[in-house]
Amino acid sequence: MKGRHLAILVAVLPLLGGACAGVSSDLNREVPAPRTLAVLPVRGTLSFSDRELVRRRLEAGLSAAQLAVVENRWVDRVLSARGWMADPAEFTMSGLDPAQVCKALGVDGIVIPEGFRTSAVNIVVFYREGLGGQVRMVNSDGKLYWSADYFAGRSGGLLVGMGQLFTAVREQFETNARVAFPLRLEDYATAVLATLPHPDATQLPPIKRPKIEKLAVTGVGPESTIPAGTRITVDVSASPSALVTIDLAPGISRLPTVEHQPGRYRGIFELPYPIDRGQLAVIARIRDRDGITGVPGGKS
Amino acid sequence: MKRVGATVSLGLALALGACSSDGGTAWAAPELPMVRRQGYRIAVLPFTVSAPEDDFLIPEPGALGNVLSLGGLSNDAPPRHVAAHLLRRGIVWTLADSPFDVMALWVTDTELSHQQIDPNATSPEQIAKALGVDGVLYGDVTAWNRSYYGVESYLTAGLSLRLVDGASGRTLFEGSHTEQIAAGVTGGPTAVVSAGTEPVSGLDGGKLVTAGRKLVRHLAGQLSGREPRVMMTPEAGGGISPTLSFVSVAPDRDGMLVPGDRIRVIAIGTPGSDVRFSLGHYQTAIPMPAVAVAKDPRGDRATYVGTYVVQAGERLSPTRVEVSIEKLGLRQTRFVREPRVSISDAPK
Repeated sequence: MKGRHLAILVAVLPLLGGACAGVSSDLNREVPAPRTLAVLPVRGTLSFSDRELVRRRLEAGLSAAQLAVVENRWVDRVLSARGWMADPAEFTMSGLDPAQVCKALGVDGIVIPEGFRTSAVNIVVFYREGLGGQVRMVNSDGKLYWSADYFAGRSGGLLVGMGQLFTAVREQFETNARVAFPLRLEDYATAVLATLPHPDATQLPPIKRPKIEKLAVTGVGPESTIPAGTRITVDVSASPSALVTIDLAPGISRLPTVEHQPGRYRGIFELPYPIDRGQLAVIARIRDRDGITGVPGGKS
Repeated sequence: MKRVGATVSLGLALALGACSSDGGTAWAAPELPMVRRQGYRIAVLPFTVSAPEDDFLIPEPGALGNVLSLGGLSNDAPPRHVAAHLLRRGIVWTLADSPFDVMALWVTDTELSHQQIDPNATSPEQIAKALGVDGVLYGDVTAWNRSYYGVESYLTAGLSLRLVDGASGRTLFEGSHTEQIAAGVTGGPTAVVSAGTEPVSGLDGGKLVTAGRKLVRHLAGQLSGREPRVMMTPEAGGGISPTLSFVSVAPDRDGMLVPGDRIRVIAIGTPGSDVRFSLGHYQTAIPMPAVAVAKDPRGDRATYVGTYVVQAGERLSPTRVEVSIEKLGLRQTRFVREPRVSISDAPK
């Protein structure tokens, strides 16, 4: 019996030690700090939805730290269009040149989050669970500017807290609940991003709102009712490197377009059912890669 | 010996009144209250029936009225099937007002059928994963029987429920309950007068509904942690979250798509929802307007269709299509494994 207690203690001690480890980070001041960044998809053993949560948190945290971060959806769109990302859950940087990726995304640095995993130990009188992973920031020359490695863990239970039995039991149930992951993610992001130097906010480029310049609709005949299956083409001239979507009629909104030349967008749509000509109200909406929206442009 | 027990039961019923319940048993895992607060999504699986064969009640569909609609069952369905169906629907309808997010029955049944899942031969973890829910609720009709004792007749309805977490396989709730309704001498103030006929009329559909409703309310209340407020109505059984029961991707051709080709996506799901499909993360949230709505006693469903026309200059490596449905801020997404779509920028 004594031997069993000792074995539990031996197993627990390294875990307790791990709970005290801080962020391991490295900053290379000889490499110019990237001014505009893209956060690439997260790699690791987490589920894809949890990895996306990590990625969104990093994007939000970097933006809050006064860095110019392009939207994840823009990043994914470009990576997909280049043939570098077929399945978002399987994306990897291996085999890709950071300079080429930065150029395609129009940024001067990329953030590569890797090795993300959770771990949980629960032996009734002791539990420990947490989230860990590494984040690297590479500039357009492929040089490492900053990196951080951290495991945000939380320990508890009778053995650690020496508190009331009720408290320990309650904490264990909370640990098993899904609420634990966002809490650990918050701990992780706060600790890791604190090791990154904040840039001078005055050096950030001024915000420029994207614009819809011109809109042309073709493919609609003179009939009062536009039949189902009609292909409608909408050409839009607007600010380049943005996401432009089209609303055609009530219930048919946010149709995507393709930027076939810088600032020239085209969407081709097939009507799923007949609509009255009076219902056709074409509106183009624009959102640039920084997430800034412009004034919609329309045509009836 | 059986008669002695029955006599004792009769005596107890006389002493206690016309209607009695056994109080049942219920056990809940300590994490159940927290699970309830998180909008836990459950699928109610088809109920099994372990009630004795002897004197199994044959409900009369006409007498059940609107309270327990038979839904997709025909009037000549096996009585055991009918009993399981009635109580299952009752549980779903009653839980519609609970903190749980209950998957609509027709969606559960369609998914089980499409994916050829036998709920009795598949683990709860696998079922939960296949249905996209957090937990599965099993039910067993333990009693649905009648008995005559001279001037007295009894209707006994019993049900047991078990909620299993899909991620851990842990049982979160287990409960059973029995309701017994007596007719005849103990059936009410006027019962003595009509004692000669009561043993037969005591087993009509109205009593059956009463017993079923009490049973369901009792167990649903224990599972959800509060007194159910809703009546058991078909309208309440539609589920809370919007759901997709069928998704299909039909590109104009196999292999690489070229400019001018279409990718057509068809989905069937909850009416009145915003349904969209995405080509991986390349083109996202492409609208799928509703083209038809079908009325069905198991719950209305709508057909949604969306089309993407490939343009010159587009390229896409083989990519999965995902379809999302959203209503009142609640959202569900389904990934389509096959076919993956790929686009070549080579001319047609």
